[in-house]
Amino acid sequence: MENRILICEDDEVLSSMIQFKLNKDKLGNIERVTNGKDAREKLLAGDFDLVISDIHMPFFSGMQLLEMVRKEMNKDTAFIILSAEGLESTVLEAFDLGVTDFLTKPFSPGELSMRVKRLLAA
Amino acid sequence: MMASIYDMIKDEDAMIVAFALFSILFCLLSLALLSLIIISKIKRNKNESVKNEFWPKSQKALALITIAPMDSMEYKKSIFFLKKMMEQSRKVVQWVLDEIVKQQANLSGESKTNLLQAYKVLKLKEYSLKKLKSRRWNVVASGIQELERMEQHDCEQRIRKFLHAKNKDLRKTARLALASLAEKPLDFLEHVREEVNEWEQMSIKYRLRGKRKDNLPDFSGYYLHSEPSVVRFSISMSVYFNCFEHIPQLIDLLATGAEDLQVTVIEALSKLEAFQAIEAIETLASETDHQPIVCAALKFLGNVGCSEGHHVIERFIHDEDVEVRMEAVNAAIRLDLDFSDENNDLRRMYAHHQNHLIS
Repeated sequence: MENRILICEDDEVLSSMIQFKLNKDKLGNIERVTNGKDAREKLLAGDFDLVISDIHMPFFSGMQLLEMVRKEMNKDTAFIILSAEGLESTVLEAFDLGVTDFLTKPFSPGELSMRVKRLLAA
Repeated sequence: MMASIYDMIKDEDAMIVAFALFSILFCLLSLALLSLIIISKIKRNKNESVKNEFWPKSQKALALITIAPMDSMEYKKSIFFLKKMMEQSRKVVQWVLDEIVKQQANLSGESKTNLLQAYKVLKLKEYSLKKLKSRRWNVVASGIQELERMEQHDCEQRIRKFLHAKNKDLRKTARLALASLAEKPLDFLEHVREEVNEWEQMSIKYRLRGKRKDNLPDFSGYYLHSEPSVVRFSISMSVYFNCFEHIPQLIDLLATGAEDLQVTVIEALSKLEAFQAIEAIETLASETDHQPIVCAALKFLGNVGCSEGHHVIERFIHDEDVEVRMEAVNAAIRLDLDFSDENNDLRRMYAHHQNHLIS
């Protein structure tokens, strides 16, 4: 069965770029949302194998979304946070909330793809 | 009687004419304003419709140029498509440019190289350079920022001439761009004749992260600059890059500087843990009655971790100023000094003074 990946990113060009890259590397069926509210609805409606989320999004931040997934929905879906800020406190908070991986911008799409591959294989 | 009635009629005529003229002028102005509003609305709608038509297709093209190899058909097709779209209007050119500049900051590795290449191939670099010829300072500034973000190091000389621009913000933009792009990123400091405010100092520092120390100037060369903010900035850079070799010049500066500057110098020496400065700072603290200098000196003595300055600390432990007292006690505790009978009470005094300051 194909892996289901959800990309939550309000920058549409960046999210479509990630989608292209993951599609090109045949990593699964990819869906995109541009805000935290839509991401929450998608996650409530179905199961995903992996979520890639930006920190700063309209309605809910990536951190809030991660907290919802772990605490409200009680899901252990693999979760990657993309962030423009690599502050130690932000990274620690994300890991405290149960993030699977953390990537700081600027990032290489090739590296992201490798990390996704590794997480989906685990 | 007849004459005065005639005059009144004559005045009334003049009033009517004036009123009519004013009404016509008002109508014309209203009409002009209305036309302007309509034209700007039409323009905005046109821009929106161009964007709606252009945007979905362009997203795909922009995404492809970031991930497809430069020699692939996909990359070439996307570049061709964007070129075609950009022929439509200058607005589209600016959208593509903004997007490439934005994504370039998000991505690294091959994707970043692809975007830098696209910037050149799509002739967006020429577009940014053209902005430098504008008579509007904000247009020039946006051109400089684009060149900076797209890492166009060869444009250093063209940007350098804006260090002397009439507009203050433009001069600042040029300085920040040079801090990123120039081979010797802080050479412009020599020409600065205005305040480099804290925000600008932080922005320059941010741009210098990861630069090799040997590409940076000798900051101590600016310690005697005529602009005080440049002196402060140079001192902070000496600390940031751990320039221990500047300690002698910093000590010299203690003797020549103004009181505020002396505080900055002591704080810098403290961060550099310059034990060589103990004597000079002890002397300064003993001779001055400027409270911030005394506090900074006590902090320095406590931080540098040398008990040689204990007599100075001891002297200030009973000072009438609570902040001075607190710094003295703090320094004594840090150095674990033994002031006979008072030693046991030091920690209590420190806690007491801290509570006092908080309340």
